[in-house]
Amino acid sequence: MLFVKAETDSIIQDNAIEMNSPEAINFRRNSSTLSILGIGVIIFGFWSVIKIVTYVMLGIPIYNDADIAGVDGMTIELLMTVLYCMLAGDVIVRLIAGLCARAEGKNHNKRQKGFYLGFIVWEILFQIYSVYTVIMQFLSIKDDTYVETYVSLFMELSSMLILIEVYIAALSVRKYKKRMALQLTGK
Amino acid sequence: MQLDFHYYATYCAAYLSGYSHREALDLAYSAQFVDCCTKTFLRSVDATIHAATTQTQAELLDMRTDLIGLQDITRIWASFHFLPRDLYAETPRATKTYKNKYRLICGPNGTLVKDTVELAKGKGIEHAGIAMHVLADTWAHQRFAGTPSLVINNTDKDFVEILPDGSTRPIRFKHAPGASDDLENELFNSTVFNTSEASILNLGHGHAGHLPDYSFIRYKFIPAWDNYRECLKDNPSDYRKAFCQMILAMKYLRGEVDSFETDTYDEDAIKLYEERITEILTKRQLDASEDWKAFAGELSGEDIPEYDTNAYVEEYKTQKDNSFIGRFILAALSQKSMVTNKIYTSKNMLAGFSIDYRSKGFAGIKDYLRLVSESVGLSE
Repeated sequence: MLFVKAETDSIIQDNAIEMNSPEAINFRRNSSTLSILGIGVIIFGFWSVIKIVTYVMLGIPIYNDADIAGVDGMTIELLMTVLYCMLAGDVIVRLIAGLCARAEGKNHNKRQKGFYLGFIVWEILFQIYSVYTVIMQFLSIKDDTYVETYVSLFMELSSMLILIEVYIAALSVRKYKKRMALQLTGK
Repeated sequence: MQLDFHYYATYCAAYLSGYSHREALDLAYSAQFVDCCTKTFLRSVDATIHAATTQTQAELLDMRTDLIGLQDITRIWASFHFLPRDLYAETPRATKTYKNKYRLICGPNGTLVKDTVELAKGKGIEHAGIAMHVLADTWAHQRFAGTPSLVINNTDKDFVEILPDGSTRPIRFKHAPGASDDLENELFNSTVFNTSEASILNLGHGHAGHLPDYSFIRYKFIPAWDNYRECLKDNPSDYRKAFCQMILAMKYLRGEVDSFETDTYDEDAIKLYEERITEILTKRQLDASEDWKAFAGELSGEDIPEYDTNAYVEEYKTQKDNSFIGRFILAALSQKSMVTNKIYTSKNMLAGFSIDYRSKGFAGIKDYLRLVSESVGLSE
């Protein structure tokens, strides 16, 4: 006699429970987002550096001569040093935040540092300000710098969206992990 | 699947379905020969390379992955090792290019399996052997596609083995071609990650290593195409179903049952050997040939010779089309032609063009002319 056999092994059934619940799938998706966009956060950290280096190499003025009229050379050098330090700090903060996001996405518990979300929030605020200034610059275009400003706006917006997505994904991942931990401890 | 299942287990299934020892041996030989009939082999015996049913690593490395090369690869792998489950499958929010690849994902109980078995009906033992290879592989290779594609065949790295007691153990992968898998330390070989969508490194189940080929293993992984859904692969159960489905298919080929229906398994045929088969399927080993060979001997009382790729080469050199390899070549061309045509008529160009002889007359590769003549001869 021929018949259809559809039942599955009990071991497999046990392991299949909750395996593909919407929450579990969402957790995996967010973990993947964290691990991919963690790299994105780092890469965009170098964007400002590349921009400044390109300005210097091509001899494009970083500031308006009219704005610094009357400021002595020593003060300008000091301001530039502060600017470079801020850029270096920004790269370091993004490097730490990106690596931590990646570690959280890959579930590398030992390398996870919870504080990086603070860095992400800081970077988001910083990025909102950057986007705002670029938009202002965009609206006041009078010469042929249209393309350059457009590219800047695109880059700053992308960077901001990546940071926001990392933040949301990290919160979601943590929420799921917390719920799983509570379930395991039976609370 | 490897030699243990395609040769020895197929012999057992053939014998249980009613074939004689000699017939079962030829059928099993043909089933295993699908894994050996490369272009290199066919050239060495002066046969048509269009009958190739597999490709060696060296051949694959030598292939160009342009449109023509990819179609050639897809024709071979989708026809014989990764038979598509549903050529009209839908996936939401996908481009036509992605959908075409998605539709080539292999799986059991698809309409093409039925077509494959029905195509072998009334043909020789060699054709039956090919059909059994294809059928068995739909179980082992399910969830992977026989076309190079990163978006389909890539997997998450976090594979987990489910041990018989229900506990889990992480599986690690290494990339050391030629090295054997280390069962004790859960260290398996897999292909190296390559970001190129159409790289041959992204063909089939390379990213899962040989895990789909071992009957004992149960594991969880996340295929790239399944939208973060974790999939569970229960090889002992799948291999058992493959075995029972092969028996049913061969009973159909022998005329013992009237039709071959998918999702139907001849469980009764193995009732007496249930424990023995389960023991072989679940034994933790890289190669189950010895166990299947012993079981085959117990079944028929005959000694099962070791598989030898060159066993029929001399016969082919003198008798050509009337030899075992000659008939195998014709059967392989027939299977490849049928699958290519089905893929093409589903408006999917990944396997290339297929011209309907009855409406357009003969065109294309002349090696297929013999196949057409044969079909016309049969129909007349």
